[in-house]
Parts: sequence; C-alpha cells; structure tokens
Amino acid sequence: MRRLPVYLLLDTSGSMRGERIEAVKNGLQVLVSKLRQDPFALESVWISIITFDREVKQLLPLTALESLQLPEITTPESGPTNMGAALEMLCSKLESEVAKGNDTQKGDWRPLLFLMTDGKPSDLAAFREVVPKVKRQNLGALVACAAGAEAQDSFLKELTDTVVHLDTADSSTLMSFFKWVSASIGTGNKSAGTTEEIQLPPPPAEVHVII
Amino acid sequence: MAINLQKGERANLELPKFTIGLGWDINESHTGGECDLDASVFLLGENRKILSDQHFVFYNNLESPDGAVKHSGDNRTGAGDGDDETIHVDLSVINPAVKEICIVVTIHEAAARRQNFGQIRNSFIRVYDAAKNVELVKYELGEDFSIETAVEFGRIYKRDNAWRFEAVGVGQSGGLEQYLAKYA
Repeated sequence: MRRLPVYLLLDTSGSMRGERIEAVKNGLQVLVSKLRQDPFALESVWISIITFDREVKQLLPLTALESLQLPEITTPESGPTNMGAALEMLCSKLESEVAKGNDTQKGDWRPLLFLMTDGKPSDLAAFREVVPKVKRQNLGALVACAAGAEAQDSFLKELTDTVVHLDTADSSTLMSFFKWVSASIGTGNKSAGTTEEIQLPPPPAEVHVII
Repeated sequence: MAINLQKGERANLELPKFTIGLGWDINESHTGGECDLDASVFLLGENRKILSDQHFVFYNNLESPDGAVKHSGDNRTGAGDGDDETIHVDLSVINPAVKEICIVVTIHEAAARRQNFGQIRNSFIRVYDAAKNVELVKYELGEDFSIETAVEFGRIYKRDNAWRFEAVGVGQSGGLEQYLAKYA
C-alpha cells in the first residue's frame, strides 16, 4: 500500500504555553483517533510531528498510523518562534523520509503539510530564504493555520495560498481545526494521485479561510 | 540576498555594517510607571570577557574605543514609532582582539517597577541591514518573552576568519547585572 506522508509543524513557542498547547495535544488525540476509524487512512497514512520554538525538534519521525504513539509535547517558558528553521528541517526530512517513485516501484503519495502558529516567524531571513524551497517540494497540500489574534496571516500567505485563521486560540476552536485536518487527510487519502490538486473539505465556522 | 544562511540559525555576515533596533510603546495606562528598555552590547575577547570597561556599550557608554559599535542613546519612554534605540555595528573597523559581540536587551529597574516584557506593548528587538532594509531576525518581546526581564538577543562571533550572527533568544529574570557578572 502506498504511503500518504502527513507532516504537522506545530508552534511550541512560549506564547503557546498553557491552555493553547493543551488544546493542541487534545486536538492531536482527536486527529489520530478519527483517522484510525477510517480503514483507508489506517493503512496508508504516516504522520510526522515537528515542533518549533527556539529549537526545532522532530518529535515523531514519519510513523505508520497503526503503530503511532503520540509524543509528549512541551513548551519552553519563553523564547522565539523559529519557523524558518522548522521549514528547513521539513525540507530535509522530506528528502530523507519520503520515497520518490522510480522505474521499479511506486513512491509515496505527495505529502500533506499542516503548519500551525499563534505568532509570526522570528527568524525572518531564514523564513524568507526557505519559502521557495518549500514550494518546490511538490506537496499534495500545504495548509497554514494562524491561531489567535496575534498571529499574522501575511507571513503565512508568503508560504502558501491556503491560509486559515482561528479568531481565538481556545480549546474548542483548536479542536475544530484538528477535526478539519483529519477530514482533510481523509480526503487527501482518497483522491491522492487522481487529481492535480487536492480539494479540501470546507472548514468549520470557527476556521476562516483567508482570501 | 548576500547572506548565505546555514542550519542552526547562523548567518555568515558578509555585510560589514548592520543595525540593531529596539522599540516599544509608551505606557499610556494610569497604573504603573514609565517603561524603559535598554539595548546593550558586550565586546568580548578570546576569554569571553569584555576587553575593557570601555568595551561594554550601553546607555552610559555610547561608543566602543574602536568606533565599531555606536549606541544612539537612551530612550526612557518608548516615545515615537519604529526603533526607539539603535546600535550600529561596523565590523570593518572593529578591534581584531574582539572575537564575539553579545547583544542583550533589558528592562531598567524591572524588579523595582515590577515589570516584565509581557506588560510592555509592542516591544521588539531586531537586527537588520539598514542599507537594504532587510530584517534578519525580529523578536516580539511581549509575546516571546512575556515573563522575562532580560533577553540575550544574539551574538556575532568570529570563526574561520568570518563573522557570523547567531540568534540566541534566551531570556532570564536577573537584569543587566546578571549579564555583567557573566561577561565582565
């Protein structure tokens, strides 16, 4: 069965500390449990989690959904949001973890990327340097989520056309976002390879699409 | 752009000159006093200590002996838009004994005024190439360091005869005295 790689880039900077990061953890639980109820997703979805704050960590290397155990996610007390470095690591992991097709075997489906932040990148030069590199990765979908009032859509718009904004970064809104992510992965799983671009399902009311 | 970024947030600073900008807003509420942020620079030798007292550039010492680091002076309220304090660094004239430049931002009398960055509106520190108006790194202090009173922002260090900038981004609560104990 061909793999569908899904990369989650999560902002764990100091401003996520408290309710927000707990909501993200709960959201991830919901995401995984919903996907496990989908027999297609269960067989083909592989998930990786990269967190970024002052440091960038791949908490979960690309792992099959059926054997996945969610890692512990922590936030530092404070510190910058090095989103540029996270995207740089993403490109590196895509290179090493995602199988390209060749003459003798089919490769993985085109990866899906979901990035969530409640702020803006601190490493501005690194961010702008890496944006064209991310765009060349031939991702099936790249969804950037700006969570909360402080998050700035304009930086995410540089990265992708698909930017959604959550008015608040409270528990129920983040939960809605992660449910939508699981539905998007389900859609991506079924239609991957058959169309040029994946049509994402409509987001819930709390998740605004930025035009 | 001229800068070739490497992994780990380090950039080879091919630019001989750049500017550190520190900005914040006036405290308009009736509670609390003025907010006074300060940017300071330590010019360190091989032993990671300042070469002399004159190589600590801050609000009471605005220029390093070699003229490589120049402070714009103390802004005590944050009045005005944009950068409220700036420090200009010209690596082309720097004393060869300087191997590292540490940049810190602190709140003046944070303990006495019971302030931290979370209470100071629109506070930021950034490093940019003024000629090209390209921002390298920008920290929103109120968001990123809301409970701290001092931040080591970054350091410019020399390795293999090339100057590199590394964003450090470590906060603490000890104020400028703690950095002095570390570097002086």
